[in-house]
Amino acid sequence: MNEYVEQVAAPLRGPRRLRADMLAELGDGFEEAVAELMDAGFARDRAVADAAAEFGPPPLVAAELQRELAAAQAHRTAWTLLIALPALTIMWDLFGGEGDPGLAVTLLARLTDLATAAAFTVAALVVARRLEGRAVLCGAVGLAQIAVALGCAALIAVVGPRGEGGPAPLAWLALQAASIAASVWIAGSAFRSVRVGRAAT
Amino acid sequence: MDADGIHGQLDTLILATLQRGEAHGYAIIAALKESSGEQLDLPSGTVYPALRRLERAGFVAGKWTQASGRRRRVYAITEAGSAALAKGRADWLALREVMTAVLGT
Repeated sequence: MNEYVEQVAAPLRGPRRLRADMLAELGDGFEEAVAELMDAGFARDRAVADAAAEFGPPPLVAAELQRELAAAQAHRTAWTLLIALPALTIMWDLFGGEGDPGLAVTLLARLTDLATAAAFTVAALVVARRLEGRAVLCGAVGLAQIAVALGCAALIAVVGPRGEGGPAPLAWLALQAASIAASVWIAGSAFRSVRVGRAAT
Repeated sequence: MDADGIHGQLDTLILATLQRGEAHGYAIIAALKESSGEQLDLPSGTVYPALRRLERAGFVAGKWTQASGRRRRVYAITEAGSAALAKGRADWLALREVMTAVLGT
């Protein structure tokens, strides 16, 4: 990687493969510009300096590339939310047990559903390009959903009914394990989205 | 004309260049300079993210190729890109008419 491309690459955050692909393309173009200037009779040092001036200030090019990385990360996180959130909801509806859980638990469950619906809606709008590139927003609603879901789950564990009506112990363990895995997946992707999006602003 | 002068028009200019045939980033930069009579003072590096933006929008399709030992990412305009170019042209002509009317030239 030449010095110019290294300067462009330094502040970039986002999906590794896309980042490498865009930098490879920029580097190839830069080397082509250098080769053309050398063919015109310039020494390599002068050709590199002229090509760098022609390509523009590295922070300017980096900012444009970062916007693309943010859009890609937003898209990726949105798909994570679109897959994981309905899967979690359906799983709990199917295997979360039967019977009346009481008013407090019902309200807490509805609050979780509300946060899930909000995150799902934002994710759908990102994928549908109505909120394209909104990496920070997409990540923030994902993190908010996880925070609300964990908070409500903790409260339900304290105020919820014991024994009858709940899921069987094995099903309960499987549900907990799947929920933790999905939550870690969502939180990781959402956190990356906020981080990459903030780098683009 | 400097970069500020063509702000917002770069995508249309790239699409117009690609309508003449597929090309890689540096060839697009060269074509833009040549067709503008060297009047376009554009930081060449910004053409690459613009191409990715156009690809994300579905206006161009890019693929890596290997020719004469050199690896290049070549772009072709899509049907949606041609439609966007037609709209860009129409918008530009409308703006030019307004500017001409107001400036009285």
